[in-house]
Amino acid sequence: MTKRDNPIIIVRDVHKWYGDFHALRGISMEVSQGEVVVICGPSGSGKSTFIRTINRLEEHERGDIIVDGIRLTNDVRNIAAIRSEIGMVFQQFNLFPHLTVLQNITLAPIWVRKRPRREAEKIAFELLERVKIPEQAHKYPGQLSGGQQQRVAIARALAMQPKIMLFDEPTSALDPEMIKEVLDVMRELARSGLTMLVVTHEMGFAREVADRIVFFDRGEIVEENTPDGFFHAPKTDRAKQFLANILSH
Amino acid sequence: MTTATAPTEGAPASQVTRPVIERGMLAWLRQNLFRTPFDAALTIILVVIGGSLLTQFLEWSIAQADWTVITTNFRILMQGTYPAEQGNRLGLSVALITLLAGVSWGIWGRLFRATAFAFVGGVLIFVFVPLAAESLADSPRGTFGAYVSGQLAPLFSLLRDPVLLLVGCLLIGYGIGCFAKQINRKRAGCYTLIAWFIAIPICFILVRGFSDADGVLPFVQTNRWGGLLLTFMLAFVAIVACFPLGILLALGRMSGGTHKLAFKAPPRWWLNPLQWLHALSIWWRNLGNYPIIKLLCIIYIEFLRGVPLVTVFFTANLIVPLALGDNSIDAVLRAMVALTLFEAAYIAEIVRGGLQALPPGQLEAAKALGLSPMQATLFITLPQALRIAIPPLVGQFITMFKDTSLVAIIGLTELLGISRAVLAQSEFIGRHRELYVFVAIVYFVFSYGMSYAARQLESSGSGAFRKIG
Repeated sequence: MTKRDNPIIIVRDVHKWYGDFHALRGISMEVSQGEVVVICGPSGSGKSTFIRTINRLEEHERGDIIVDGIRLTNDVRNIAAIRSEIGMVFQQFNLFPHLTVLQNITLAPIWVRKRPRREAEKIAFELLERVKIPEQAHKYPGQLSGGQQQRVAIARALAMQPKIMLFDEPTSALDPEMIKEVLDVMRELARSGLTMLVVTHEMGFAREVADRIVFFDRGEIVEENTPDGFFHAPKTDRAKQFLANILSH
Repeated sequence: MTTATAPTEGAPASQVTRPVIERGMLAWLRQNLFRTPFDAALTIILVVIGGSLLTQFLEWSIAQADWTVITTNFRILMQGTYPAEQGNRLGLSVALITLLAGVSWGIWGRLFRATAFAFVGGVLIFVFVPLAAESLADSPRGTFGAYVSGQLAPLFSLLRDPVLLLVGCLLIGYGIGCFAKQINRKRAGCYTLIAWFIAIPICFILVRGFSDADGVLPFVQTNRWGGLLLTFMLAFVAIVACFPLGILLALGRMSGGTHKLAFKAPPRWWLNPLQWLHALSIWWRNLGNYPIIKLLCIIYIEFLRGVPLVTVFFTANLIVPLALGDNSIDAVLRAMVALTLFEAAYIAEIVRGGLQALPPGQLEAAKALGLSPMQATLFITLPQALRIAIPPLVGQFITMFKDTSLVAIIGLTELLGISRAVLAQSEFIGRHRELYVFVAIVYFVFSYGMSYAARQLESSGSGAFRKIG
């Protein structure tokens, strides 16, 4: 694959512990510019922990993570630089309930990127258009449905014009009816060539959009495969078992 | 459907009517006060006890009490020994503050019909009781009419002007606020906040003065402040000063990482000095990135919460001049400092409670957007935490307002202190009840005002849409 030549995220032998629990056991992977990687696996397998180490919401204790040429260390300036290049979407949306949708989206561009307010608002309206809720700009998050909130959260992350987007189970807290509207937005993003790391249980989405699927279990990468390979001919028994469980219902 | 069991089965939903709920006074009484025999018994017992207490109190207050103790000492109760000829300065400050309070109310709050009625009713009583007194002036001694004209009328005519001033300023301000809101809500709010920041020092200067005796605003020494004036000054300065200090202490105590290292104690670790060091180092590292600041904040908060306010007043009064080798710091300032430092510890714990009530996702989202810790605190966590903490914060402010009465112990004559001084005069001995009832009503009116304002603040703006808690 030609895409592999230009890795934007390099992870080498990363370990993390919670007390005595060994949560990440030697994760190594590379993600190329523009690649869409879906991370799946049973709950408690360390997939959320892993993507949270990439923007250092969790600190890794061993190994190296290099994002866009910057090595993640405890240096505060490094962390700030990297976080503004990485957008993140959370399972629980985590919108700021005391700010309007527009303020949620423009806050970071104005204060971190030092954009003029007018310009930031213009970009915010474009993004709201892109996630298909321009009419909600002046409402508070509490007045929106879950699906709308998650789309605002995506717009908020995109407003920083990140090079990488992390999605941490973005549809797990949504009603089934609303999952589609969020996945549609994510599909559109994937097509636009953004680098994306997505933790999800939506296997249909994974099959359609992913360039690569990484299967986690017990803090290790058990299998990396193409979507076709993963769903039709998984190489490992644990992946087979996982697919059997998840696709049978 | 075939399985439906409701009596409206078969009828189209548009024709089904809502069951009628009994309305009216009797239905309400039956449902709320006499639902069961136990409820009925409880209601009757409480009505009997409450009724008898109330009738006794009313009988005393409108037939027996001798309110001359208040009418004679009214000025001293309100402003202590503040020079009488300078009293207008106080009136002006009060008018300014109430006007601003009214404007803020008009912009951010709502005037409920019940409140408006209470205002109008109150004003009418204060206007009409003195008028009625004139027609009753020649009633025979010992009758109710004589009591009204001799006792109540002077009291009410004395209170009329201050009450009219307060209510009038409040309502005029409310009108201005409503009008300004119609024009431009955002700008009106902004200007009002600026006006507050200007008005507070102005009032302080008005009360304190700066020039010589024959200047525009002669200087009035703080030892001549007293009564309600001193109560207000103490409470106000302490509230304004302790709030930012408390927030800083709370942030200091919350600073540092959230990741806690666990001390895994091997068996009988206390016998091994190396393990002591290990435990100590883990404790130190768990204090986070700013261990010394955090430790100092914890010590400060826990120490001041662990001592009574009275001891803090004594300490400030006795030890501060000793420590500074300077006896000239005046007693009022000492009391203000003591109250501020003491209450900041409580405010800090309330704010910390608000911060801890936030879902951790809020801070994570702020970090993930690249906001610095300072920006995340200022824009994300602190505004939400303060809004959550409004009820306990106001509770603490009301407590502070009432705690000012403890300064009587270090010889300051605020409202309660001056009441005791008044009662010590031979002509008013035995008039405790009248005076303390009056003092209690004054405390209640202002405390209730604060709590009412806080409820309006809570339900205003984005607070109504918050999804926390």
